[in-house]
Amino acid sequence: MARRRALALAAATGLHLASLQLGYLLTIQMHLSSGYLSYALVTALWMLGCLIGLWVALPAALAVIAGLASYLVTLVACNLAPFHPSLLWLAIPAVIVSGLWAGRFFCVALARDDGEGASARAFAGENTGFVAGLVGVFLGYALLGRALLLWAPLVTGASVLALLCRRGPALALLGLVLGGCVDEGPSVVPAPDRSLFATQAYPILLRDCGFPGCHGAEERYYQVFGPGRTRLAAPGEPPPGPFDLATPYELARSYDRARAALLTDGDVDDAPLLRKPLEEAGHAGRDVLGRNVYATRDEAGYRALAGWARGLVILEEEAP
Amino acid sequence: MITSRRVAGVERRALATLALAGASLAVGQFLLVREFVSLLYGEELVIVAVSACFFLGLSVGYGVAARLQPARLQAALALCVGAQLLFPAATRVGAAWLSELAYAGGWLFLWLFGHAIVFAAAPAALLPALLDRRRLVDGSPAARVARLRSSYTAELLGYLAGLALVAACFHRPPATLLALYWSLLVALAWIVGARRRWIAALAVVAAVMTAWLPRLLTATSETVYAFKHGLDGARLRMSIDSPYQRVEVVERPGRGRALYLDGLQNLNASDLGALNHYLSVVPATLLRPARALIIGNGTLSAVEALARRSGHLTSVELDPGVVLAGARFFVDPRRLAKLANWSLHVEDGKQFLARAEQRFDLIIVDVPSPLTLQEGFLHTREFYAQAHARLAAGGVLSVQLSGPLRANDRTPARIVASLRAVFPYVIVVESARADRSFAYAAERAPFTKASLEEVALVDDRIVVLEPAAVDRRVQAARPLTLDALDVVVRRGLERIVGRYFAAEGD
Repeated sequence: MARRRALALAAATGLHLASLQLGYLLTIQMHLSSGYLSYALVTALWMLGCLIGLWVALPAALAVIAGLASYLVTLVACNLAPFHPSLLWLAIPAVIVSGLWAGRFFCVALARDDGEGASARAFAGENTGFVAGLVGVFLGYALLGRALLLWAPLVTGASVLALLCRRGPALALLGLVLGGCVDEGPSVVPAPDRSLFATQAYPILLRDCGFPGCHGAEERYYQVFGPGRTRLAAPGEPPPGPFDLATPYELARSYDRARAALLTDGDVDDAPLLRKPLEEAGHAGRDVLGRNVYATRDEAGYRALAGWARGLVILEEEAP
Repeated sequence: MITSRRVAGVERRALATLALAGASLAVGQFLLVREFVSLLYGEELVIVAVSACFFLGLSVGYGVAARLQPARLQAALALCVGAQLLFPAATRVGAAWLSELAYAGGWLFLWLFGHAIVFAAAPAALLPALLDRRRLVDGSPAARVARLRSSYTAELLGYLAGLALVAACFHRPPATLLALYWSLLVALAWIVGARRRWIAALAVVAAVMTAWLPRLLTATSETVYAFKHGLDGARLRMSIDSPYQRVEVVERPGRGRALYLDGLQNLNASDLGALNHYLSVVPATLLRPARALIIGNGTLSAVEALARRSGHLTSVELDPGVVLAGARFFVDPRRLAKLANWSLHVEDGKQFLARAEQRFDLIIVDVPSPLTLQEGFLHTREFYAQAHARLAAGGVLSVQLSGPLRANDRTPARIVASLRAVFPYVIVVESARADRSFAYAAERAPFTKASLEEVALVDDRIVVLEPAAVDRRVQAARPLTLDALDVVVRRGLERIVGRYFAAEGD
């Protein structure tokens, strides 16, 4: 029974290490560089982590959890800010930490298993698990996409923890995995009426948000362009004059950015477009007296925006 | 028995043995994977299968370690060293012969697995055999862990040294690394205590083989090209291992030169002209770009024509080995050196686009079909969005589709679907001479169909598909994205099955 358990731990460890190592390689190739140095760096740092894991007597569960957490942080950072120069400096310690269990595992296995051929069993089991992980993660990523690079290490990590501790951390991680597996469906960007935008929301946004130093700038996530504010030139065309009518290109860009700022998991009132300009919200665009764009939800400009977001025509004197 | 000082209960000689085994495993893994990927042709599926076989060879070694007596392990290791002295000459001749048999795929993969055991099993068995043998002497958990630490550290450091040796031999002919590898193996056989007569015999054979190696490697490589690729009279002009792949230039009488990457033909002299014409010359002639960028085209064969038509041309190629082959066999480097408006960057195209500050009027993507993930990344919607962000107003992205565009879900249609996910305007030219289609993508029509036909049509039959016709053909195609690269597996599998496992007459 003990031998079977030792073999299962070795195989689960191999699977886990393969999913982490291949996960790092693929993520770094995708979001940083496919250059040979990326491969060499991951391999060398992983082995450094393995050596540290051999010599530093960390608690086994801590080594597994720290390695997994480092990997997840790198994965999220690479997906959020691809090709950012700082990613390399994040990945270096992360790979080392993830490699710790690759060394620590053999110490744990040999300390626990004093049967005949314990080392051979540990090395063979871990290596065979690694082969299965190598093939599985490659096929899984190619067929299922990046989600596999998230879930595979979580599932294999939970299996290793379950075999190590039988309780606590494994259950917590398993709960996390299962909780995360609840399919809430993809987020869909809202698409409120386009013509209502042009007549009801666009003039308000242009007036209250489209200053060149604020959201009338291409560097900002939320942008609005048009007459009297920053003008946006369509590709291959000269920019319109300062007070020319809004161009279809400006309207399309402003509409797309406004609907993107309506994306939320909760009620539309919680969307950034309707939450940030309010007094209680954090927003850099306050005036010299520290006032935000709208004092209350009852202000005419705010009601015009909220009405458009909900598909309602607001007949106010301020809404042209 | 030779005695020596101990570290954590392990003889220093044993530690040196493990370090040598680690170095041998690192170099052996590189040699075996590179050789078999080149023999079986370098789709990602093949790379993964060959790597997995090597690791399974390790598992076999670990598995038998506990059952092998020291004397048998020594004998097994000496035998493995002897067998490896026949590598890769016997491997190549064997593969060429096996490829002629029925069920060639099965035989070739068995041949690979046999090699994996010879390369990996015996050196891998050393570490657990040593640890488990010592366990019988002193079985306390603390002592076991202490011995593991020093022993495994020695093997890992040896492995790292082996990787450094491999890196030092990049861009050199395989003979250099092989000669070093054999020296490592003979030293390993000596240090594990194999019989002196065996060691002497192995050393003599290794020395003789090393002397013959350059001629032997060329001859056996030409045998592979003649029998396995069906290229009669093929002459190997160059063979180097770059960090990414085996780069070979093959010449045939009357057929010119061809570039092979990991055994797959990348281009040949006869279709190179057509490829460069549609991919680079046509859009550059129509646009006369102030700034042009070409990603890929490591042979540099499009550089001169593009530089003539551009204000400034930037080339970005990942693999310096391909640049080396291009400069030696496909272009005149002295003429390129005279180009004042051309610069070459050896780096990843994605990374270059991410850090580039300037915008380009023309971006050309000249990379192979997505048969590996690395190549696949350069055909994704995300990559095209990166390119789009670096295009100047009115700029054009030019892409070769690796085949004719048809109304299906195959590679050319999926590449165009990825382009359409980013660009509002995509026009396609299909060339009979190039046997493939080329796509030009932009924010709006960069040139008319008539002007395109006028410039494109040179001694060829072409069909120009305007955006509406292009859209009809890609209706059923899913864009390639970072989350949808299944084409790498599906197409790879199709090719492997078609090449090695299809019944006769298929």
